[in-house]
Amino acid sequence: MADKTEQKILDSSLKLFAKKGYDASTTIALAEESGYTEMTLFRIFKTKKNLFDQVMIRGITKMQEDAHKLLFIDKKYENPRDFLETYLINILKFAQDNFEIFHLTIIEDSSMGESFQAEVNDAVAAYIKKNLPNQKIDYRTYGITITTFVYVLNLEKYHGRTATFGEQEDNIIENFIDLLYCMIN
Amino acid sequence: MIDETERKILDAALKLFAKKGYTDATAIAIADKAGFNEKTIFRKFKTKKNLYNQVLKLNAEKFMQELSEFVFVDKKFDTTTDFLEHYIKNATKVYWDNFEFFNLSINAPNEKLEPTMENTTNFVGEYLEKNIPNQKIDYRIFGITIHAFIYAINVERFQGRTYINYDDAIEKFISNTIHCISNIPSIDP
Repeated sequence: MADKTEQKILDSSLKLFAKKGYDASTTIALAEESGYTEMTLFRIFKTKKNLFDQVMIRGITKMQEDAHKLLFIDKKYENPRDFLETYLINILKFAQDNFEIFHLTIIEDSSMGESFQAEVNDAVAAYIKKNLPNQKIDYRTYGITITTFVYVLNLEKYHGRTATFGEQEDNIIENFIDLLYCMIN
Repeated sequence: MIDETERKILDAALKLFAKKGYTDATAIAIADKAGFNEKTIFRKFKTKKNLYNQVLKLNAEKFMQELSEFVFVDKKFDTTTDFLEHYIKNATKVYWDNFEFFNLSINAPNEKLEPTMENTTNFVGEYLEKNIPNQKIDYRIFGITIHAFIYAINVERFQGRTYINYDDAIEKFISNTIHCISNIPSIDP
């Protein structure tokens, strides 16, 4: 079990790694962000690489739990549209709660991030196939289309940019669901 | 005009800024990578900030120029399939050829680039509508969907990940998308 100091360092390191990337996050900056000294960081985590790995393990484990709680819920849907709407609402919540760690699995060259992405893409494809059976689509690509759209939407928000999406999120989601819906009909 | 020395420095700077971020890409490291000494950099670009701005400005111009030359072509396409194949394949290539710049511009935000991004998004929507008219879709969202997908597969390629097969992903995306377009009744009789 991670103690309080460890938790705090892991939390603040996740923020900095997500913001600046692994290479640009120096141990001095990581220490400053956490409010502890560099020495404390090294005492607990030995190396920057190990700290990064611990951040990834913890974040990915949380994402896996959240995915089962929020994303892959076992429920009967009335129709495809109902399924797509619910799935979009859930994945938006999932993406918002886990943006920083999800972002790290995308931008960093890490085998943990890679296997997580592979696993989640397969799980998403299987879940969509189960709920929208017998469609003439490639389910994996369809799932990736949804995931990447939601990722980019959150990336823009993360950086405080409104240029691409504008301010009207509800509208965007509705129109995106229309697009997804027409791919399966 | 940009001379050979400046070109080398700009290329090395783009790579280092993309990899390390602005602060940690030091002038010494950029000089090393370009094969010159630090003095040459400051003589040519005055400050690191100015070098950074030049990198963004010139690469943004190159990116936009390649998009207009290879993607937003003024040509009649026989079928919707032809058009989408053209659009998605060429856009994927231009994004890939400019990947470091694009990645830098979205992850190391710079206010000056925002209007460019907004104009591009609007333009993409209009261009798609012109070439696949009368569909009951939000063209802007359709454009963003395409570009988000392209970005994602290029990141995977850049990271050397193999769980998405690059060419295969493009083909399947086109096929999913075409299925959509051809199934929307046209508004025109």
